[in-house]
Amino acid sequence: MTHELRAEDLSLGYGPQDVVSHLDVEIPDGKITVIVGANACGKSTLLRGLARLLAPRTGSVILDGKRVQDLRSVEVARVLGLLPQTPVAPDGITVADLVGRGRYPHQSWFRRWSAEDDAAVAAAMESTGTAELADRPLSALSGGQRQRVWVAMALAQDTDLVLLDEPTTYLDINHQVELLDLLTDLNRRHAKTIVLVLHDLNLACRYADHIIAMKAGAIIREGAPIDVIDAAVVTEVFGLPCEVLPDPVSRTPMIVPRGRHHVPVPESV
Amino acid sequence: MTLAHARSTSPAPGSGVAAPSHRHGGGLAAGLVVLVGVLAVVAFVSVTLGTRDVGLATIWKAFTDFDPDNTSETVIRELRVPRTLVGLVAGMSLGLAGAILQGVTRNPLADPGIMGINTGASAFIVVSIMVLGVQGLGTYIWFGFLGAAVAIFVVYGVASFGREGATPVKLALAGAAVTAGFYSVTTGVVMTNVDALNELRFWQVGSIAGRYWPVFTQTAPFMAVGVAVALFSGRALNGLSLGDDMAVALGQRIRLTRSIMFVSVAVLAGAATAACGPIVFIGLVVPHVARALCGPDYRWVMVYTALLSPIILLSADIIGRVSAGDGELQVGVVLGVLGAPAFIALVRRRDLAEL
Ligand SMILES: Nc1ncnc2c1ncn2[C@@H]1O[C@H](COP(=O)(O)OP(=O)(O)OP(=O)(O)O)[C@@H](O)[C@H]1O
Ligand SMILES: [Mg+2]
Repeated sequence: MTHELRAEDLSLGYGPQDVVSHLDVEIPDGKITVIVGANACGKSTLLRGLARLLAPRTGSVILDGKRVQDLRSVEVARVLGLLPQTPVAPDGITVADLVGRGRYPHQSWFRRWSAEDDAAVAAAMESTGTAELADRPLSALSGGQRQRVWVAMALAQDTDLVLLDEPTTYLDINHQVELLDLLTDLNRRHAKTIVLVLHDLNLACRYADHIIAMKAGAIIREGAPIDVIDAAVVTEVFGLPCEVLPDPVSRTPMIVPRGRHHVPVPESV
Repeated sequence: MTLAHARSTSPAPGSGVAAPSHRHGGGLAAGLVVLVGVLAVVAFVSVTLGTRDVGLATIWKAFTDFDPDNTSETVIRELRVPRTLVGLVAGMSLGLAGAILQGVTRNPLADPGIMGINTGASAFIVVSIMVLGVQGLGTYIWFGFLGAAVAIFVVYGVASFGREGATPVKLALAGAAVTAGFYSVTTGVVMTNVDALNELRFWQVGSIAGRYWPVFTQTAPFMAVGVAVALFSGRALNGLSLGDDMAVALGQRIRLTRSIMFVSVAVLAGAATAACGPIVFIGLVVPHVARALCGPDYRWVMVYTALLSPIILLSADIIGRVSAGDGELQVGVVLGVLGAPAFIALVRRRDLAEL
């Protein structure tokens, strides 16, 4: 199923100042989009705006031709899911129970727990490697295990559009790659549109079909990583001098930072 | 559109892994049956036990073949039964009001007592009686609702300021301030009118003694509506318990949900306060007991709270009746004495931290 998700003239904020102001963006359908940018530049804010968690100050978010605020929230939730950066869970909740909560938009007073819910939850837990944690309380898990449970919950919601705010935080390098591979599988096999915020630029460049580089609430560059990510852009976005080489595995841009130390002889580079 | 997973193995259907909330359904349902039984026993004891010993035969006769000239039968019919019924619905109301507040604010210390809601209701009721000359429970119950609503509005409004929203500490502080404010209004009004002081004394401390049929018939309909709403709100509270962002992401209309929840708390706490004065601890402690028994799923927590609360309220009332010799201890006093240690034990528990 094809979907349209875009923002027009979108301004978002919390205090008197806008965090994101008059921004236009279109999320390419059926692609993996990765948003990168420095801390506090407004990535989470944009994601929350796109997922109608934050009301626009100007402009609007359009989902499938309609303003997202005008749609019934539960209808949006069947198409568009979001995993916030720092989700909270009630004390004592078990992993299976939490992942099952992802089925909320598919249930109602008249339609309770079904075989389809069972299947979606089992699949989500299986693919994130959390099935064996099913009966453990969330509070008794490691940070990385917990993160995978949250991802499982977002996947159990089974939406065509999945927005994930820093889903790889707390994950070791193997689990990071596994998660991104999983998301790529979902993208390729089920044509899910995926939007991620990532801080690891190398993984971002490797896994993104479309990358969005943000700075101070605005989009600096966007496009295929190979076309838009170079040393100048990274320096502009993060204020960090660096080298950009082709990734020996994927041939996508690989960013090697230059700090103040461990740069033996400057002119030798 | 089922998510077939990326890594092939097919889900074991009915493997139990996936059916989270009803995994323990059997045990929890059995627990309900037990609680209903306990409640029936407690209610029965509440009708039979008292300063006047009344035999079973008399109780039976009071209902099947009532003789208005028989004092014992009259005591049963006109005093004990309505008193028990008031305790039943008021207990349910206070417990559910606490459970709703804890769910909506994600705050383990939220409670109609701590948040100043009961005090707000009683202040408005006292002022309406003493200053505005309102007469009759049917009228001043509306002041109870209003007072409860004002307290919720002020406390939640004040506590929600700032980035983290209504944290437990802010909510408790705002509640303490509002309680103190309302309490001094009540005291001030009562002190200037010494005649009324006696009249209000029992009500002030929380009591279900002397709550006769009119009290029941005039407050119970409101509480019944509130209880019904509360029992159906488990799903919504489950959504809110994941935080506002996640609740919206899952398709919940959080403003609407919160508003409905707060209105039902005002009705529950307002009516319960109008019926028996400000009774504390039920709303605070019972939902935690329920949660300890059945876990964090509010669909169960609400039902368990609805049964446990009247059990505890009626038991406290019975203890008050039998423990004070000729007189009686008000249920509010008993609950205070028994509830304080329970509350301390609760605060000392590690897992109180997050809801
Ligand atoms: N709930 C909030 N209330 C007030 N200000 C906020 C809130 N959330 C974010 N901000 C502010 O908005 C700005 C953008 O924050 P945002 O969370 O969007 O950044 P981010 O790009 O996701 O950063 P990070 O990489 O650290 O997650 C920051 O200056 C932050 O302080
Ligand atoms: Mg962020």
